[in-house]
Amino acid sequence: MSQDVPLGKRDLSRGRGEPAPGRDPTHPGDTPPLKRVTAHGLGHQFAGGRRLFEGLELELRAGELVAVTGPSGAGKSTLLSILAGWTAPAAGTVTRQGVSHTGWVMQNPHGVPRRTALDHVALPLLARGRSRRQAAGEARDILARFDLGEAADRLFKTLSGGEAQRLMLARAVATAFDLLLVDEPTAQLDLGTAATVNAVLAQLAQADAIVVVATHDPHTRAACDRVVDLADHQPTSGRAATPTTDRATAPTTARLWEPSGSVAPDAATQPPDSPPWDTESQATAPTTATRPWDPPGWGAGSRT
Amino acid sequence: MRASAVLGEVWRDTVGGASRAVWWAAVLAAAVSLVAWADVRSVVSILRDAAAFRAGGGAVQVLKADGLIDGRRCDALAQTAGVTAAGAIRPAPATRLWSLPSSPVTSLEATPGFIALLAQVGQSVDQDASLVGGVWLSSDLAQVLGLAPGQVMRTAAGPAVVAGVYSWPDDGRSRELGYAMVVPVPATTAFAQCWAQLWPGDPSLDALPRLSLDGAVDPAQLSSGQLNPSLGRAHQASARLAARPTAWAPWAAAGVGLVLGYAATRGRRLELAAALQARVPRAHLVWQHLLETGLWAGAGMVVAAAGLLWGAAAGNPDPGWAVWLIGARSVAAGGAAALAGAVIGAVRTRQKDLWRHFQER
Ligand SMILES: Nc1ncnc2c1ncn2[C@@H]1O[C@H](COP(=O)(O)OP(=O)(O)OP(=O)(O)O)[C@@H](O)[C@H]1O
Ligand SMILES: [Mg+2]
Repeated sequence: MSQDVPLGKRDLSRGRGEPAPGRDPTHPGDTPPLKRVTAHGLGHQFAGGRRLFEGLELELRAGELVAVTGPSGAGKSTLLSILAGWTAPAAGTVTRQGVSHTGWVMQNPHGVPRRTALDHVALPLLARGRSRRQAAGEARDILARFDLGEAADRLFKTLSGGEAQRLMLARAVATAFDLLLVDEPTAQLDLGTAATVNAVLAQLAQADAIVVVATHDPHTRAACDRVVDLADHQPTSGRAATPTTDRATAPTTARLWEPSGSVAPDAATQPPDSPPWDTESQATAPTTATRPWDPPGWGAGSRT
Repeated sequence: MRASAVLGEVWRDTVGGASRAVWWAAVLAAAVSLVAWADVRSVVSILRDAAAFRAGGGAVQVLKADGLIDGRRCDALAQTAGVTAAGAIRPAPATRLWSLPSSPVTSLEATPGFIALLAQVGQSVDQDASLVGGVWLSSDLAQVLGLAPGQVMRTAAGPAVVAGVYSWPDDGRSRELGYAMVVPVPATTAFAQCWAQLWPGDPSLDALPRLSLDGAVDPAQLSSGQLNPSLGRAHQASARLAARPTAWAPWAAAGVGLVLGYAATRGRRLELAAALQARVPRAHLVWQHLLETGLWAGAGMVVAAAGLLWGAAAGNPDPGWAVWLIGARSVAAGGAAALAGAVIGAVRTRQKDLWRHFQER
């Protein structure tokens, strides 16, 4: 499932002298290649965990900016990982067409403290055979698009959180990914700083890439073209499809929401007239509570 | 990626401090120096023991066979591998000196090879190199007579030039030459003793002086032994060098270098993983980190090797180069292993490291 190995191999075979900037060298010619990621009947559940989402249908194309939203713990990061091919889905299929380079931007920007912002953006251009001069010129253009023109020659360690996060986006554009996954780009930022990131988010869509952004931030969501809300795909929505249901675990997880301790209704048998999905109580409870029933070492919950 | 771009990255990482080249060079130099010095000092101490053994005459085998030694054959032993000097002597009539008429001085006639041997075994030899053919005095005798090399001594048989003075301490060696005069003579005649300094000591060569015998000789007429038995049977410097625990130093240095090179590269694994994600070909990334490591490892090796010059020379009775080379092997092993460690570190880095790092926090 890992994309790592074939990706690396492809990289090695790529030589210098790639024709035009911004065009994928693996597909020479005039017609841009079809880049598409489709998901069909997608559902997931970690071994021993509760079901996260199911029955997800997706069609993602290059050029659009898709937001994935949902309460904390709904499986946004997991969905990104499944789309990338790093995690095998428990149910359904994912098809990737024309995707040879998958990248991601995390909520925590990272870089080389003693290298300049320009160096960070120039590297992927150098990697594809540009000369230092060409790469620097293109990198400055990209930095300017992400409102980092002034910061180009500053060391990474001197960048503010918002600048560093925008640098991550700029670097992703310079890398010319086919599929770019952005996970909570504003989660670590205060409102004002987040706004500077949201303001440049649309720049990602200009690249010839499929871009998926997982977010809590309504402003980030507003900056996207389309929204996939995982709250609409929760297992308890009364759908008949209950792929790979592990009945042994269902009551355990359900007991969370049943203070009485009585046997909880199975997801599929929940009364249809019950409120669709109480996101607050049901989704956040398992991640913010102490969860003594979790096996030790399960620290995934409280990330936001 | 162009070669110039890879070199540009190497340069920027090194000059800008991203590879922490100064720090790693210092750590490597210190670690490798520690190991190399331990080895070099233990070699020097073995060499010092060996030099004391030689200077005390412990390495000289003496064969006594009155009138049966061929002087030329004895001198020729010095050409044999494992023999550093060889020569023959015989007693001569005591010499009567004008300045000391009442007590004639013990005199020995010696082959040219013996004079050369005297220069090695007679400690703190003082000689006038231009006076080939002059007589040699023991330092005790020279002191009594008040003579130094280059001066003329008046004997009953006529004047004689003093070519050299040898010291013959009372350290357990045979006393024959302690208060004596050695007169060089041609090697063409028969002698009473053949001396040979065997170095490095190999007990199987102890009987070598017998080759100087003139034809077949009845063993009953022979006796042989060490000039100075008090220093032990044999020094066996080679065996001690081979058995020294620090002979493992190059391996230890390699282990240290490997760990440092690996740690330096793995410590930057997020940076490497990000470069892979930026589509830097892995081969080029490995080259980049090999070169970056080469720069600091090279600097560390130069520093360590320079410090080692002193470590190899201090207190060393022999020229320091041979010992320096022994230590330099450790330095080289440490540096080379650092490169290998860096390559392993770069090869082991995966793009997924980045994903995992941020997902598993
Ligand atoms: N490797 C894993 N093994 C088991 N359970 C996991 C694993 N990774 C995540 N989980 C669990 O799956 C659920 C969904 O996690 P995920 O990180 O996808 O949620 P999210 O929607 O991104 O949440 P957040 O908004 O907090 O980032 C969580 O309950 C989490 O504890
Ligand atoms: Mg998440």
